Amino acid sequence: MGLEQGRISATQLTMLIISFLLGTTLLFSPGGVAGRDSWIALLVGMVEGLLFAFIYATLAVRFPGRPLIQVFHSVYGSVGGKVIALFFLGYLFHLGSLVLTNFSFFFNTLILIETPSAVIVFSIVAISVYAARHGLEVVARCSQVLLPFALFFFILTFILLIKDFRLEHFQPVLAISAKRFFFAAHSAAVFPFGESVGFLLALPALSDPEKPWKCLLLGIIISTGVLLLSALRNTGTLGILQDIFFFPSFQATRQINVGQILTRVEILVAVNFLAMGFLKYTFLLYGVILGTAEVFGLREYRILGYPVGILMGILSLLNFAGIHENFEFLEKVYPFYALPFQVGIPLFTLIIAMIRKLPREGGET
Amino acid sequence: MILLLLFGFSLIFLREVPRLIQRRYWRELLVFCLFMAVAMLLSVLLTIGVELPQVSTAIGDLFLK
Repeated sequence: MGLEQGRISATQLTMLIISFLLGTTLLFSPGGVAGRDSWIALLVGMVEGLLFAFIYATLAVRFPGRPLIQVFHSVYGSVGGKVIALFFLGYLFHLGSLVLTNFSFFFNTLILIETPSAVIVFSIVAISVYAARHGLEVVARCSQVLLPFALFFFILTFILLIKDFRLEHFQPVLAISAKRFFFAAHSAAVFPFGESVGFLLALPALSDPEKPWKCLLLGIIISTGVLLLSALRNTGTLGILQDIFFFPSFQATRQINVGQILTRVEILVAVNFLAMGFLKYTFLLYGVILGTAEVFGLREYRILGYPVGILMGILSLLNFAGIHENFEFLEKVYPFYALPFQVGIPLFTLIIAMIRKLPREGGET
Repeated sequence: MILLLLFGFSLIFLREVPRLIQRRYWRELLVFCLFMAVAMLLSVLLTIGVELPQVSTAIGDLFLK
């Protein structure tokens, strides 16, 4: 029995997964390295992402209802399990701080230019700590409320932009080298689909432990649908120009002009990012405090909310010197840096569990 | 500025610590104080303007070499 007493339904988990995957990708187009072919790269990346998700689901079904840290313990032993768990949680911690960095760069570049980034970061940390301390059920219910709004706003901006689409922006199709294309597809798989590795911490709380695969599959497919529309919208309106903008979605939505009356709708993109990014960060914070509490053998995880949230905020201020470095990291480093955590640890755990025939029938593990 | 920061941190301590002591959760108290100490140290350093290393840039350099 883990520290998390709450249970969430399959629908709630699916909605949380969709919000998580849309979190920062509504701004940064995944597979953006491929330029105007990013929508094809996204589809190929989804297939790779589904392979990742299959590993997570298999691992979760093999140890139904067992918290991830306990799984590490029984697979790697007490000390090895703790070390692996700390590496894994360190990745989630860093990922959370990267989300906060994205927040501060986005708002500092486009909306709140004079505001110190610490103010932006810590106001989000404050509400996220509040939500994460109340447990997974509350985070999941937040996504049930926020996701429909986000999808509505997203579809609204898409419809309003249809008249500005230029089909010639998509041509020539696949005029990039195969290496570059597959690298773009791989970056789309790692960011965002592979980041669903964080849900390994939440899958034990699923009320129906046989369904993780269904939730992950649905979540990834629906969010790919949204991201596909987003990529089509950005390429259709901006064409090759999208490469010169930091936030192509924001710029594309800026083109909306319905009879000189309905303009400046791009704030909807910011609102969507705020809502989905908040959910992504809150879930990561929840995962880190839950995992850390289990590693240290604490009786409750809520207590770690404030210190870990503040530490994530501080790390987010220390991540990069400027927005260029952030993009360089995302494009060149992240596709390799994330692999050991997104594929390595889960796959290795699964293989060792299969070799050692864990969990044993009737045994204590 | 630093006083404001310490005031914020003391609010968090006041909110969390009495409950832990009441329930005799010593282990939780220890881990909580450990994390809070690191957070306080780093934020005080940031407030007084000490140059701390760029973490993700350092990770990136490790990979790009």
